[in-house]
Amino acid sequence: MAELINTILINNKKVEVENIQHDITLLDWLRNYHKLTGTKEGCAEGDCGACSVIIEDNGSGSSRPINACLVRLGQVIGSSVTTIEGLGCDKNPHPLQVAFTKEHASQCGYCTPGFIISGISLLNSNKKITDDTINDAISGNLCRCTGYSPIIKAIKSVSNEKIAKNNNQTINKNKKINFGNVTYFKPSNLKELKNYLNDVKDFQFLAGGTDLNLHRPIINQKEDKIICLDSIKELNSIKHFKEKIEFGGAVTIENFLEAIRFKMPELIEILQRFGSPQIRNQGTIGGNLCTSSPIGDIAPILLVLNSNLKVFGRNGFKKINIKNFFKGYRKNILKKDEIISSLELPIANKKNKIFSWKLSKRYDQDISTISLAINIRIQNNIIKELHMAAGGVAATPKLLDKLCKQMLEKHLDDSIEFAIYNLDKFIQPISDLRGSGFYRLEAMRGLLRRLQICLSQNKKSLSIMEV
Amino acid sequence: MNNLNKIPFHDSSLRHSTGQAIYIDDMPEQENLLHGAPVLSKFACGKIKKINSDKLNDLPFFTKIITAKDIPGENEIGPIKNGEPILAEEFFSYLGQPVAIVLAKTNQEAIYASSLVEIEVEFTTKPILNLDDAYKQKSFLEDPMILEKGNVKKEMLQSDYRLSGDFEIGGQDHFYLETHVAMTFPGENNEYVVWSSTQHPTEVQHGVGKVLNIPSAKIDSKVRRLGGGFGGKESQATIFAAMSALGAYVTQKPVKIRLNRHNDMTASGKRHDFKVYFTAGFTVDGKILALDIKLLSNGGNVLDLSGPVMTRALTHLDNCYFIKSLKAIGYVCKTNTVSNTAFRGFGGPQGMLAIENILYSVSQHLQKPIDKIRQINYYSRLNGLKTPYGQIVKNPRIERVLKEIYKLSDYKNRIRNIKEFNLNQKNNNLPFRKGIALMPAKFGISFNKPSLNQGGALVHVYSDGSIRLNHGGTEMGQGLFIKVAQVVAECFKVSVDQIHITSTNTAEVPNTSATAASSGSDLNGMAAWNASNIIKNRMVDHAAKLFKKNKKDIILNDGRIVCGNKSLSFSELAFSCWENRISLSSTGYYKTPKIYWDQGKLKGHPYFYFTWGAAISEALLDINTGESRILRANIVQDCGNSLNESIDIGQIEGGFVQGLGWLTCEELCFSQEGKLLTTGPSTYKLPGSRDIPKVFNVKLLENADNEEKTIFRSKAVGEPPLLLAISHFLALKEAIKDSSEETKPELLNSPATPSEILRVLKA
Repeated sequence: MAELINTILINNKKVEVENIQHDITLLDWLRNYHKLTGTKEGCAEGDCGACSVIIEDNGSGSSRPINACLVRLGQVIGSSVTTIEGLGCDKNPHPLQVAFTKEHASQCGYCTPGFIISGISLLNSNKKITDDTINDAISGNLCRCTGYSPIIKAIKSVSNEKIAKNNNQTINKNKKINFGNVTYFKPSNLKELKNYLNDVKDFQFLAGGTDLNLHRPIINQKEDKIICLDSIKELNSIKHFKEKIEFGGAVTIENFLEAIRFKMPELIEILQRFGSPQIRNQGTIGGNLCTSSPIGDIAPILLVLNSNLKVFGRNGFKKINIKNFFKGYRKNILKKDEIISSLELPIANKKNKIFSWKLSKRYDQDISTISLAINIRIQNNIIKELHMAAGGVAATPKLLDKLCKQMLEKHLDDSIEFAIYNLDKFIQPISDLRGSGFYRLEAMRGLLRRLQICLSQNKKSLSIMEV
Repeated sequence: MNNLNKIPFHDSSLRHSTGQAIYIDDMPEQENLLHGAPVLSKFACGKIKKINSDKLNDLPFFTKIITAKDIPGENEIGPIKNGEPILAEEFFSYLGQPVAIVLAKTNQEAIYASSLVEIEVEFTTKPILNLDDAYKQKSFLEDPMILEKGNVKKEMLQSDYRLSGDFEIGGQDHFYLETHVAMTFPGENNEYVVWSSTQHPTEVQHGVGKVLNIPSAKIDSKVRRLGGGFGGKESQATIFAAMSALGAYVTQKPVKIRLNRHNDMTASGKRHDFKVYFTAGFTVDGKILALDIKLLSNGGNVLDLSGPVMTRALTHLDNCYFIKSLKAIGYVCKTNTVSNTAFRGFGGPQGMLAIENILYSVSQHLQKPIDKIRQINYYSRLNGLKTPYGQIVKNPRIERVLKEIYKLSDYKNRIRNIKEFNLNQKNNNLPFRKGIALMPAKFGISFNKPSLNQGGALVHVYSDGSIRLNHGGTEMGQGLFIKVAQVVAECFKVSVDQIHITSTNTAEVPNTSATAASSGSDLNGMAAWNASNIIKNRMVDHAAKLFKKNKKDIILNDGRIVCGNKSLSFSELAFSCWENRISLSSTGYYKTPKIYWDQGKLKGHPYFYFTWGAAISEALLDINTGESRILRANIVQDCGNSLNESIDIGQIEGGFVQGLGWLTCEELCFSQEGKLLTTGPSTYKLPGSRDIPKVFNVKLLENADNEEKTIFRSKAVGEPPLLLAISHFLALKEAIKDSSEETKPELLNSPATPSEILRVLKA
């Protein structure tokens, strides 16, 4: 069978992907092969937003902003991409483009297309346009010139402006894509995945790619086989049960956030600070756990909720508890052919209180210096149940079960005093560029004090943003 | 200025928004273009034994390596002193120094290939990686600079109190969104056209000329716009432009070098970090009688612009205060880190943060509010008006600025409310503290080196009445191009749309100064005015002939040339001038008057004028976690008679937020080997949209014509607002002060990251 031509819909035009010598990013392809130079490279690590584009998976109907620098071309074959050029030009600009001019929202202009993509994505969503939703929408975009206020004003001035929906051109979604030395396999269900697991040798899994793509070489000299997980139907499912929600491993962080928004509102602040919309729309919850970073903003939450994971591999499914998942610095128990097929988020008992805190140099779009998740039940000021897990204090996200055990059945104030006093016996964090070991320990003590206040004075979170 | 009834937008704003504004990396590429990527040293210092590029031979694609040996001219681009190579030759002196360039047909291939080149090294000395070590080892890039006034020894003895201390001021990466980029096209007869993202096209021209051993006349250096500069592309852009030119020379093909973010942050200079040691002598009231101060700045591996940066730090140490006796010594330390360079404020912010920190410590010592200490130290007729470097502060506007900002910010009431808030938090065992503080500011305008204070322009009027403008300034987002276009439009009394703005080009206006020191519109605006005026006079002379009237009877108004009840359109007159063989083209030139400077003695009249400003910021702190944010900021800035209020407000807001980053979240971290660890926005955190004050009010000082004859009596605006963010740093200290009885806010170093704040709270 002749190989199907790889196509992408760019700004509503069907484009055949040709003459690709190396496996490249979507950004490089847009700029170098199509001279769509409105999309800029600012950092190539998904943190500045200058390369933002809107992507819509064929037929899914939902469009989302992503960083074109973090996505490989092979991942988006068969998708629809809207770049800044697709929104308007000087002779026929989009109202948001006009608003940016009127509000003096550009100075050097290099970041501007990215901000407009983020702004349009917000305007196209069903969210109310407020300072808060605007700040969320542009949390993945950096501007070094304006100081942001005119950008916020510009977006606010154009509410309810939606861009025309992409027409429903159908394009090929090839299952096997080859660029240079790299081959992408795109199973659409677990059965197909299993076949690939049996047939393909020496492969890597790729879910969203927001972490893995950062580490992939700019030119692949060796052969590389990538099995993409994002199109697998089962991995994208979200099932609501009475006591839990079950998420497929390839559910994006953004979809995870939206699914629990009303069921576990305590977790929204930390998830809203997870990367940026561009990252959350690309990164997956399974991928986040599998990178097994010592920080892992989601892991401490799952640890204190005692979440179970389902693992899928060549030999079928198995179930494990999150506590047994991490093995060391960026290591976990998965074998080469295994993925997290789903994870469950138990809904906490109403009698329990959940807290989830993150400390970082910057509020938005920053990696935690430390994080702390707490699941606690108190009765008459006595701690009856307590689970705490921390990120950024050890080689893996750490369940503080020994400490928690010693805090049980004591008066809240006494047990927190005990924990603060003895904390250094339970965690010995190291210094790095995100903060000193001293800071991590002291700030963790500070979070315990915060816990005490929240419980004794019935405060929800005591975030500095609420003052 | 009343050119249009509405204030014009940035000339490129719509094209910025549609993605149609062309930056250098967006320019069409010739088929035979090669891309270059630098090979960076992996150690902080040593001797290069061999550059091994054998692995490139195995690659299935074209590559070519270029080293210092390929340089036909001098391996030298030092803007002030020699000894600053574009590629390390025998020795390298910081981790990340370019040692070679690898060319390939795509940028990806070039970057990949550059990672395969191995540098064999021999270690010589131990690297010097911090200021105190450099000072102890007397590792300096030039002789110490001494600024002296009065008799410090005597005044110190006569003071009621003496207080000593030290503090650190961190560096800052420019983080322009567009990294360094340059593209060179070789032409016939040794001609080269260099497009580069530079604030200083002339220096690129000179640097390329030196490296290629080609006279300036054969090199055209151009730039339409920069994706941000902030000083980072003043001298440093020349390094990468020269690399691309060297590649073009060797291959005789166009060569582009665009650094990726990691290489840009590793291999280009930043704001100087400083360490300050001081002893202050003062009265019981807090009047400073003597200040003995030592400033250590981190120049990095070579001098670059570190000398003038230190000069500006020393000449801004006084800020708004009359200091009776002063001995300030500036040491530009030589370390094995990347050579630091210009950054918005150019040492001024560091000098001013130093004096504000000192006043804060004095206020702590005397248990008095810092504003009381300031009040009796301000420049005034009573206290004195002579700066330590000899210039007289003729008419300080500090009182006017303060009056305005006190009113706008409701300062006194808020001080009271904040005290109550903090008490309430304390009594309820709650973790939040607030602080509020003022930052008054005086900033000297002009390059400290008088010869740099000149500007040039070239204006053509075409026979259809359209006007083409070119000048020596570069557009990096600050709105210079639209401001200068407004000046030209105002001269000819036509609409600003009629002025066509063009790329900066050394072939059109030669021997230019860097667009820096906030001087862009002062120098180029005046030069463009002069060019336009020359043409206008010729046109008016001709019109007088046509109308058979006196020159004084001719009036230009709203695109027409009017004489009594007769009139011509501007284009009709232009056409008539052409028909009658009248030149419609002129250069214009301007040099700043009145300035002189003795760099040896650090005395003179270096600044044509001062700008004034003040900010009041309110900070919030969580004493449990060290997290902080800014809640509110009021700013009053003296922009003279502003050329474009919207553009100026944009500069003020943006500069202030950049200053917040410098003082709070932007932290450069180095490994023990001298490797910069924060080489991208994932680890180097500049302010995001939530980090700006929720209430953010900026006002230009009204009725504030410049007393000096600047263009339309306007004042410079680029740099001064940045250092107003010091108000937030001081507000944080105030919040720390209220966290408990024993805290010592004066220990706070910059940047005030959560880590640093908690360190102080627990000290």
